[in-house]
Amino acid sequence: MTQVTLIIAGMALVTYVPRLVPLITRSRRAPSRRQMRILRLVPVTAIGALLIPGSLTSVDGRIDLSLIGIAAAVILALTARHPFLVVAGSVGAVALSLALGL
Amino acid sequence: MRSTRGPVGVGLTILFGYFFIAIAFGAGGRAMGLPAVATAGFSVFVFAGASQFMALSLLAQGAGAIAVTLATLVLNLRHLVMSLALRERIHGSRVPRPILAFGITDEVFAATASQPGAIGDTDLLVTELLAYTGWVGGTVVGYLIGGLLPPSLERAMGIALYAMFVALIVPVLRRSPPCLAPALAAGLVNWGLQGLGVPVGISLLVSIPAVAVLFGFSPGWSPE
Repeated sequence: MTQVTLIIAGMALVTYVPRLVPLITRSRRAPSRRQMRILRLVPVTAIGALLIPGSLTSVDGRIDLSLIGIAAAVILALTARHPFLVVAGSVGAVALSLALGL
Repeated sequence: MRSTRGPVGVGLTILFGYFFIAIAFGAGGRAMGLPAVATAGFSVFVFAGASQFMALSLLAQGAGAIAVTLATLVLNLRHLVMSLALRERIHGSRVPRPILAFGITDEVFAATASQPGAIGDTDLLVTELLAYTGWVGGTVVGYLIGGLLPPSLERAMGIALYAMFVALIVPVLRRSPPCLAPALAAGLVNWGLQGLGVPVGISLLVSIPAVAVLFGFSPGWSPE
């Protein structure tokens, strides 16, 4: 238990500090247009990097099952709109594939 | 389709996504024999999905506290870039920044920063609280029902995190189709770096800002 408590405390600290420091410090001058353009690109590149390649091995390390889930998510995101359906439908498609013996 | 969502809509997207993933985390903690309080403690105090799963697998391999903490530091340093990208866009003085900082996860960042315009501090707090509710709630539920789920469903939950990222980026790409290029480029750079043996935390920390800078400076590319 002591070991786990230490790990939680250590992880909490090293996760919080990088989130905190930029928010409580100030830049000396307002960012330029180019800097704003770059900062606005960060969420896009972050999602791209978080999706590739991690998503490809997200179900038992298997590309085929992972692609079924991603394809279902893309189709649902384009049509169903409600995000809950995207997540639930994607999990459902993968679970169904597994249940069918893929 | 609406091109933007309010803070509640954004928060609910993340809440549902987190709930599924956190069920897998809670069930995993139980399967490893961790006490309920410890399993929930990870989600309550750390609130960082990928690193929590990593901690479980490192613990299972017998890693010590220092090793797990260092690995978490490397994996989560990317939030420095995200907080920096948010800093100039958060407006308002009703919510202390140290409170807002705790909730800046990948998904909270991606969902709020990809909306056009300024970000109100209370709006961000609402999104964060909904996300936190989904994460902590899912962890507790996962611990309680761990072992009762059909195995196919439990295995399928690995996709939930990525389905959520898809749900977050598709509206952005609808609003701004050229953004597909930087998104794909960042993914390919990240993939390439990992293929070269770069640890995933460092690879994310490098590929996310590097590709944003590349496209930010590219005269031939415009988000319109």
